[in-house]
Amino acid sequence: MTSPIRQCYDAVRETIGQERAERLGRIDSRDVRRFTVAVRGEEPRPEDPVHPLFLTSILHWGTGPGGSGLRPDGLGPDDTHGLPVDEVRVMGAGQEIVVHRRPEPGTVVTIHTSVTDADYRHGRTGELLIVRVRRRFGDDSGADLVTCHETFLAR
Amino acid sequence: MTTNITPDPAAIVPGTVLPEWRVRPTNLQLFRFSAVTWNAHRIHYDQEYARVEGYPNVLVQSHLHGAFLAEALVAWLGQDLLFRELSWRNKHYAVPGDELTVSGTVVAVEREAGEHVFEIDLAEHNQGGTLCAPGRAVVVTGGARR
Repeated sequence: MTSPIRQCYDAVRETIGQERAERLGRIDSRDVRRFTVAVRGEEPRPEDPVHPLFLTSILHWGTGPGGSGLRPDGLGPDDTHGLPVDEVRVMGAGQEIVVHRRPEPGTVVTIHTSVTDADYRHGRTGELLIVRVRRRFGDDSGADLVTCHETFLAR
Repeated sequence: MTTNITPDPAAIVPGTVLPEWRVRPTNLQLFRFSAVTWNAHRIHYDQEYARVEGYPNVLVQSHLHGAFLAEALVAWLGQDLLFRELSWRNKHYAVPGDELTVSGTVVAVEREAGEHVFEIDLAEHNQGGTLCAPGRAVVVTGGARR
């Protein structure tokens, strides 16, 4: 019988190279300031720029589902960037971001998401799935803002 | 959180060591970070769930570790710093009350049109010396930037 992790790996492999495009919405200056307060613990100056990780840290730009629509771990179905990982535990393992142009409040953001790689390992500590996702954030003119390669681990 | 005196960028050379930057994350900080990123994962606010998962407390978010690396650079080089690249890996968890120390070393420098471009290796350790998040950044200061 195939394990949930192995099934997940097989499903993720099927999605490699498929790109999803989505319009996320406008960057709200209040959210930008709140992000800085959350990170820094103090009020930002009016002239402070958008934090370099603002775009790539937000899991969900919409409302998401109500409580009954969340997984047991609290994540929503769209919080894992479309990865078919409903039956496994998922955790973030880091990012590599390239800033092409610093986003500004008021910018309308679009995103293109694709799985670039998946690896399955079965070692002493059990099964492990490693997934790499590329997210390309742009503005509504098509100009790139930030490219992010993020690694997820699933057990 | 610690703050530093901004250095003269022209004096920064490969091998320059950043002043250590320290932060002690709190439950309030984790709550606010989860809220602003709309991250409902229970591992960051539900202590009982975190313990069932084998951790001593709720966990500092993956992205907050990365943000701490960025903050160490901002504290050193100033708010007008421009990030070209930033990366990190989550190697070990952290919980509220841990004292996290970010250290770094400049590994390459370029001077172009009045700008100073620094490539910096970074590392975040906890109070026990365990490496939580190694990272790397390419940042620009000075000149007319984007």
